[in-house]
Amino acid sequence: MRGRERATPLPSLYTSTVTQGRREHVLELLRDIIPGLRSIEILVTPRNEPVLHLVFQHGSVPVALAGDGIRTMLRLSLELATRSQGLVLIEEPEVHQHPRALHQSAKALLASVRRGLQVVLSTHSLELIDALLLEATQEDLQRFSVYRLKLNEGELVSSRLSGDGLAFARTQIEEDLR
Amino acid sequence: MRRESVILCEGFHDRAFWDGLLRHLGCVVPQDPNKPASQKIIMDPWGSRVTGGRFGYHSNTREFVRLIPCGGETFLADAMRTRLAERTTKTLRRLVVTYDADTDPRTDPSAPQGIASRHSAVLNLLNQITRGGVTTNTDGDFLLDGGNTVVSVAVWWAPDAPGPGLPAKHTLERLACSALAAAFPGRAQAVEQWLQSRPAGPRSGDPKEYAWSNMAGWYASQGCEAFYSELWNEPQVATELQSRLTTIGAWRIAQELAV
Repeated sequence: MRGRERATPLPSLYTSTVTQGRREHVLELLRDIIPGLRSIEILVTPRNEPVLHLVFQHGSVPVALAGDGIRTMLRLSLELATRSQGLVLIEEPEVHQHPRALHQSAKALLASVRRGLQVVLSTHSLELIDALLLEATQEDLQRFSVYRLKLNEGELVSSRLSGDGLAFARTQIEEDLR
Repeated sequence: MRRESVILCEGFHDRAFWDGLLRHLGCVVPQDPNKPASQKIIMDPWGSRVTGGRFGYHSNTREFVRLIPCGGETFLADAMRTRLAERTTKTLRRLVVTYDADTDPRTDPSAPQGIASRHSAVLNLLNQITRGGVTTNTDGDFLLDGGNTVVSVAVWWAPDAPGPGLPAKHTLERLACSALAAAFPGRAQAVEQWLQSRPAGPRSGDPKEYAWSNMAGWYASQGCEAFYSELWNEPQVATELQSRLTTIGAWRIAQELAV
């Protein structure tokens, strides 16, 4: 996904999400971590600028005023929801996120993989890996690979675990993969 | 250089036995002297906390040793695969895999069948992982990556002839009961009498019946798991254990871990 300075504006992303029929999917992910969220809507400022709002029963809050974790989770879900195929590179999606929100991120990631997207992500978070494993089906596991990277005296070396190997390592012997 | 040795064992009782053995050989649990004993946080050489039922030690030369219970014999092979797959990024000095021989001492007194089948299973797995790149040293250890990683197989069995107080299966339980019987013959007789005199009821015939009878009779205060580690704190028992471990080849492996 693109860096923050060149990021697609959230209203545009949301528009693409809605036109591709994935609004409910994104809302479902967000409702689990934002109590009372009714919907997400694009409202217009007095200067006619579109702003994405989180809408509750008695009012709305611009997404820009939400916490970093909510914004990270929202952008990740929208960026993934607007793509059906191709390759997505994600750097440390766990940044700013509450562990509970990581499960929603995992759901968003798995949904996009099931649609045919290839996702390559880097992480330092065992909680994110565990969240992915918790949400993954046996079929999903066949699509997983984990590479541990290490710079060894200037040479980049790696070790690899398959999805099944990853599941064993984390759930049976609680291997710390970092 | 960041590296470690890893012991893979079946479960918590093997872990307790290894824990007592490693401490007996001078390994220590790394502990910050400025922190209270209740704050036991053990970090591995890569800066991650040792968790998940694992134990961590520093050997006599401050090499890191990790002890991993795998939740049963069926998981040992996958645990080997996992740790060996990681060895390119987490240097593995030595991997020790622990099994019970699981044969009957009446028909397999020195357990060659049980030992051979365990070694053969490990060698097959290593050959799969390294595509045939395994060699063997004179001690029977397997060498990977030109000897940079050593894989040892420790098989629990006891060379003692069948007798009172000894289970009829080559296991960790039989090893512990044999050492106890040699150190305290009266206890072995008492355990046998008690087991034979039990009123009718469910009986598993499991070697644990013998081990837990010893535990209940003379070591109950600290519970089941501590039984296996506390054996090493009793000099007569430790001497008998050392003698048996030397015979079965596990003493050398433990000593090399503890260096």
